[in-house]
Amino acid sequence: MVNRTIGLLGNPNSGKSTLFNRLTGAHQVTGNWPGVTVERKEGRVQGKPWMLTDLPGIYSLAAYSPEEKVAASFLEDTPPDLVLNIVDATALERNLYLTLQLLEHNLPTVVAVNLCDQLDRQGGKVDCDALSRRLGVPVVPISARSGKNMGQLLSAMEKAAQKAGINRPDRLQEAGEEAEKNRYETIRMLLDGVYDSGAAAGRVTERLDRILIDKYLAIPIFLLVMLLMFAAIFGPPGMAMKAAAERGVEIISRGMETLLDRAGASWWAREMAVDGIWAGVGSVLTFLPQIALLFLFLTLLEDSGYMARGAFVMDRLLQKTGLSGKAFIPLLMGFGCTTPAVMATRTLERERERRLAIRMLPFFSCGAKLPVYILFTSAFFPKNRGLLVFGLYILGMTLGVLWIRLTGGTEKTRDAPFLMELPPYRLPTLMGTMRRLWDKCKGFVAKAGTVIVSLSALIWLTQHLTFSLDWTRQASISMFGTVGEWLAPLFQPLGFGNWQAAVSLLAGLVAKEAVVSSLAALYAYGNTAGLSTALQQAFTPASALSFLVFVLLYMPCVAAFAAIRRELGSWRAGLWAMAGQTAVAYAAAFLVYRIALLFWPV
Amino acid sequence: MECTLDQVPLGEEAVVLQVENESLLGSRLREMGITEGVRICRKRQAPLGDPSIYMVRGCALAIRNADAAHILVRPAHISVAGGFENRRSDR
Repeated sequence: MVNRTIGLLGNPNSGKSTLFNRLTGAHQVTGNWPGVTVERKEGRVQGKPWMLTDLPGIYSLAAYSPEEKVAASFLEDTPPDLVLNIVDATALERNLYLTLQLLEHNLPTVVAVNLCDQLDRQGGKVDCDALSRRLGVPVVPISARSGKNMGQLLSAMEKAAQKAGINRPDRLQEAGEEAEKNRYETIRMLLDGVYDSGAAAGRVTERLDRILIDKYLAIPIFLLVMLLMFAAIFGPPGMAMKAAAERGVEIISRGMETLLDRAGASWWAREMAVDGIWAGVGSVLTFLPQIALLFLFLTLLEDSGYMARGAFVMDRLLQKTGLSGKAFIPLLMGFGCTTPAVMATRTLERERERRLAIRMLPFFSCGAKLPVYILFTSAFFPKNRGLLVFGLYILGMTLGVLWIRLTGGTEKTRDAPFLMELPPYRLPTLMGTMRRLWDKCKGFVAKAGTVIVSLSALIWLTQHLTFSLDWTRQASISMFGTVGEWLAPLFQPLGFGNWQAAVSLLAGLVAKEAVVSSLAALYAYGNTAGLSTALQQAFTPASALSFLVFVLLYMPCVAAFAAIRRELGSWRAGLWAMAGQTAVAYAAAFLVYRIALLFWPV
Repeated sequence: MECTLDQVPLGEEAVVLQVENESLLGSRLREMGITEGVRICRKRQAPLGDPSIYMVRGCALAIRNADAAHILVRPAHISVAGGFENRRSDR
């Protein structure tokens, strides 16, 4: 079926993903590169029997970060039939550096000059035919965003692939300092008379930067953006969406009951399905709108180019922790989900910085913990909900930095070099944003459909069976309750020594959403309003605060742990990080509880 | 008139004379287009003083002062002697 493989290669921010989506449409498969956790995206080119592989964005074939190594080794180990090299017309000099390297390696290449419309607007122009003659490979001007010239690009690719192996320039260069200089010298000659960049750097970017990274305004604006993001998620918009989702879950719950009744299901089947599984899944699904909103903000920040500005502004602060502004992006992603954020640290070049960032990440509260915060703050502190959740996030970050400084400061090395491109601001496309948002939400929903379903069923069963395998209606004498009773004394000093809290924390190790779903199942209420009332009886404000702090800080879920262990390279380092994390959580929750007791005595 | 890149005043343009061959950093800088003879303009400084944004070959790069100190430059407005230049003025 597929008779040709094509690798898509280009600088970061050259519009690679947009072109990939444009060429493959809906036929995409995401997975990981063998052996590493860098995302691998593949797709069938629409209307052609070609498999297109999206490679990580790189500036050069000399590989520094693990992500860049993936691209380099892909070309070496499984050379594609054709390389589709996308270059940014507004920064052609720098972009052609990679192109030259590709040609030096004798790879059959088609060059797609993207953002030609942008170049036009800033008064520049490029003669692609002349450039093609000089390079000796097809050069096609395109606009990935509007889809201009896609037909021309496809036919150029078809032709190039057919005669792959002949008529390719042979300009192999030795590596090292001379080669780097020579390539730019070659580019200068190649572009002489065929390229005019017009007004350098878009005027819009210039104007926006004047405000957004102004000496005095930059930090207030950055904080405002963060605050807005939180206000939208936890304020009226987010809460209204959540309420709607809750109504939906409730309606389905009723429907299931009626349906199962009519079908004549036995009591345990009905209860397990409705009060066990659906209660668990439903309570997690009600948080989907807010999590989607969080991912939407992160996606917009990244695609618009603001994220890089954030990294630029925050670099000085992060330097003190041994990190660089580049680590800011994985850390921000950590607010969404720790697992992909841990993988995102692969963009960091220095191993030491990478390890520090990985160990700091679990302190950045992930999206799956949000349900717990919302549930408890709504039940106990409805007036100061937003502020309190914001405070939790700040607490996590602060403790993370302190913890890393305390434990990571042993080896003194030079700071990581910080070299980062600030891409021009671009308006994110609706399609691109929606696609990425969907990719991320899909993961969340899939988890609700698999992990949470099986976990909810397991919890319900262990909750209704004793260790001698008798059915019971009394959760406290069930397997679940018994294990909880063993664990509960551990948490007595933290103020929540009830067995329900203990086992929900245990369930949270599988997935943090499960803390809420197991609490919901344990109190056997399908809707969260009833759950709040039950919690108000089981917890005091002081113990609720302590519980929140513990959930914020204790070891992440198994998926994140697996990623952390893999990226740190050893079980010992992974387990050590988890133990430290949980110790910090215990100590912090203990302190918070004792202090809170002064305000809300039992 | 020579100085290092981190000493270039904001808004001023300079010509790169030499990039110190400091292992990883040196070749990374050259790959990003900071080679001998290229024009580079210091555009902006981060609010906390470090890093700064430099325009080179049509791209905006953020470089820390400590790293910029490895790049030797001379002011661009003095004699334009020898070498190739970026055809574009960034100001």
